[in-house]
Amino acid sequence: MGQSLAAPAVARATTARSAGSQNPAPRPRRNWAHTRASGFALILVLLALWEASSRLGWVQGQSWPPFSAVLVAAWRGTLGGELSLPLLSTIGRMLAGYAIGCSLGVALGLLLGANRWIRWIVLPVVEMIRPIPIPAIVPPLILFLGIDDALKVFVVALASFFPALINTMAGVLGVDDVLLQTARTFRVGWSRTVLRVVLPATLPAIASGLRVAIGLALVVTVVAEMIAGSAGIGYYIVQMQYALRPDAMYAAVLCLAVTGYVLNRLFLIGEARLMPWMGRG
Amino acid sequence: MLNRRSLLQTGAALAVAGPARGAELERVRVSIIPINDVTPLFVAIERGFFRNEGLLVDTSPSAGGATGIPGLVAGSYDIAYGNVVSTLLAAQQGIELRVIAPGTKIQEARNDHSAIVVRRESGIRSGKDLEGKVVGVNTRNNVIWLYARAWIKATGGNPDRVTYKEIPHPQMEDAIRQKQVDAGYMVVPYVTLATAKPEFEKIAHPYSAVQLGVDVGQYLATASFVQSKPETVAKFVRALRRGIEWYNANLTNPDLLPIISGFTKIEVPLLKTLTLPPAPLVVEPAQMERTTQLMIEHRLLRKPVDVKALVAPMAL
Amino acid sequence: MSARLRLSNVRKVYGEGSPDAYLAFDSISLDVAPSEFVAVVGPSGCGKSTLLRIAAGLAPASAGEVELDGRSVSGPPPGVVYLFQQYAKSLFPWRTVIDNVMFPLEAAPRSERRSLRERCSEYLKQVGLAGFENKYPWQLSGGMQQRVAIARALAAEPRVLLLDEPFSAVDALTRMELQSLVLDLWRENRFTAVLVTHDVEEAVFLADRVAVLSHRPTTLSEVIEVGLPRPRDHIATREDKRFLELRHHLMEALLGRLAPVAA
Repeated sequence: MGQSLAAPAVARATTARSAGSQNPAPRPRRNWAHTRASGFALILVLLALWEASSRLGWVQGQSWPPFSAVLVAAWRGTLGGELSLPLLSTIGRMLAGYAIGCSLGVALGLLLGANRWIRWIVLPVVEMIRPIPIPAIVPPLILFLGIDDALKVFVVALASFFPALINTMAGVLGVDDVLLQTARTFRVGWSRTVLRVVLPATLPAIASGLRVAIGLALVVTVVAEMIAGSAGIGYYIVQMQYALRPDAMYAAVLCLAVTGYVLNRLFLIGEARLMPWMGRG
Repeated sequence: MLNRRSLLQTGAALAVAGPARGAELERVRVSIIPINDVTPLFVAIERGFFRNEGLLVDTSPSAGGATGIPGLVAGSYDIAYGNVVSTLLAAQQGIELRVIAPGTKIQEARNDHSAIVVRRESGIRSGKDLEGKVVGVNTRNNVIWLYARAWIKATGGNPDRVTYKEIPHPQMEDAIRQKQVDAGYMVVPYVTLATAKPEFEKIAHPYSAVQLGVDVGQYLATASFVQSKPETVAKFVRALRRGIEWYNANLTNPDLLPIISGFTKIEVPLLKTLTLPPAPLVVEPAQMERTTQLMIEHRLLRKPVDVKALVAPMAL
Repeated sequence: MSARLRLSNVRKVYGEGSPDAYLAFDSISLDVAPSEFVAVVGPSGCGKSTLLRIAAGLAPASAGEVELDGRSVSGPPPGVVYLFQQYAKSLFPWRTVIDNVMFPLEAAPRSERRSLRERCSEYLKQVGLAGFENKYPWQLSGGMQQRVAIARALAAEPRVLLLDEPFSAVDALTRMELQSLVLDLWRENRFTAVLVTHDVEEAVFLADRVAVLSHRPTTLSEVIEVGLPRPRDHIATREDKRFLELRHHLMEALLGRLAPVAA
């Protein structure tokens, strides 16, 4: 009897102690989980509104299916391959263009960051091309690149190129002078300074450029497929729209949203693994 | 449905057993629009007519149809299905195209299913009523827009006093319902679905009203392709004509529906509600001339296009 | 005795050639003997850090000359290491503590790596960071980060260590600990030390001689012999009468209340 009474008291005491002493560490995590949960709650409420608006006829239209129908279409399309195969082909094209664009962007970014003269010559050209919207250049590009993968890979590479370039260049320019002076005082040569100091110091900036680029790459791949497509998820969306299958169309959009989210999460996880120092400069 | 499909495949397999079997097939890349207009092409594919000619037809759908001619010029495609206005515009711009085969033609008024649709309560009946109003078309400065304008003019309206708003075909119904547009020029199957609902009403069939017999769409190739590979083009047109003949003979045959569903992705039950119009066997240059005149009238063309040079002999 | 480090008539003009160029300091001459500890004090903005950078070969002088063991300096010379005030920025965040200390030694052949690593561990032990080899800088406190920077400087085996206000960003107690640490290392390793600081107590506590820079336009106004006994102790030394006299005098000099006099 006495023991059973004592046990909760001990438990209470430990809880109180842990709440007191460990406060700074767990607090942010709880907040994080909290915002995550309320974020999901908001999404659920919006989806419920979607469902109701269609089922109860608040929104009238033959292209407004209930969300449940979209889920069913997504499930069927994923299992049957009707949706998953175009999605995979889209991701394939995206990754090809992304890899090309980012490699060139990072390489040129390092060069522009390192050399003032090259920056003066090349940067105005970059700034002129950068704001051109991709959908505007797809039709004329067809004349040069045809309609197939070359076109899509090119536009995705172009779209990924700029954030990679700009962030890399800014990263190089932003390398703290103290780090460079440190290398100098230890008499480390130019090439080793670039390799051992400038490059690692620029990595976080490069990573954030690559992360911006990956979101952009997915969008641009889909847009290019919508404009000049006969394959991929972008074409699938348009096709389903014309085939009067809005449930399948929104299922594809849903898949894209999930893909974008997953890509971003994977990127963040990889970033934290490879660069544990990031954001703690 | 599975049975029908397997029957078709058996038919195709039997056809393959013909002369071309074992020989190397020549690959032909064709840009199509996934609408009923190209059904004869898919009939010819499914029934092995192209194989019999030694061709392997590889279709590339372009949902809006916007990439057909640029794709031809770039060499991505050998042949493209395109509408007559795009073709004439490209010809005027100096792109050396040839019309090689017929596609879609409004031969009889009763087969003209595309229509201008309004809300029943709107009271709009004529082009005159549309002045100051908004008309939805899929693309401005193209075939639908041209015939909408021509009809407005023919029914007493001034087409320049009408606003044209670009709405994709599948969204037209909702756009009319939500009063984003006062009228919409709709095509099959969207028009069929919309006008089955009591709130909507067809007020006109501009193609047949303006120009009965109009050649709406054709198959195209570049002049250099026609010149360098006349054999291939001839084989393609021969097989396509067999497809057209089979299609015209089987308009109500349920075997057609899975073929159409295969490339449009429209589900078969919905396709059953549609009436399929027959397809033409030849292109009529005179009809294309009339379209040219309309285009000049509505300032799409500056001067006439030499239609006779544009249409290759095998299309006649 | 010949000087290890000699500054002769060093002058620095900021923004040379531009219309808003201005003179930072002029005619600064100073000899530092081998294994001597010299502190340079001066008011804020007098250019003392720049002077130290010129001595390190990290910045060019506008006129005058820097010599190391009789040889003119025109870039970072071997055997001179500059310890930055901003230790947090000077450590490489992507490297562990031991890899940071290894940085000056990486040009060495691969075969020597192992023994060099052990030597670096030894330096870490000397600065009191044994066991922290595999931590990252951001996992350490400010004082510990500066200890890593000091260990890294030691790894380069400097003949001259130039310290640019190295303790200005840590709390008072940590500062005293680091001051004692630097004195211990200086005594053991016999390097020449030049410390730039605006903290006159720190200068007196650490140095053999204190060089005083004037307000702008800056010149070297006096060099004071400290003459306090070694080893120095934070309690005893700071209560020494000589310490208080020097502190008084230097404070007056820096606050501009007194014309410079010989000590």
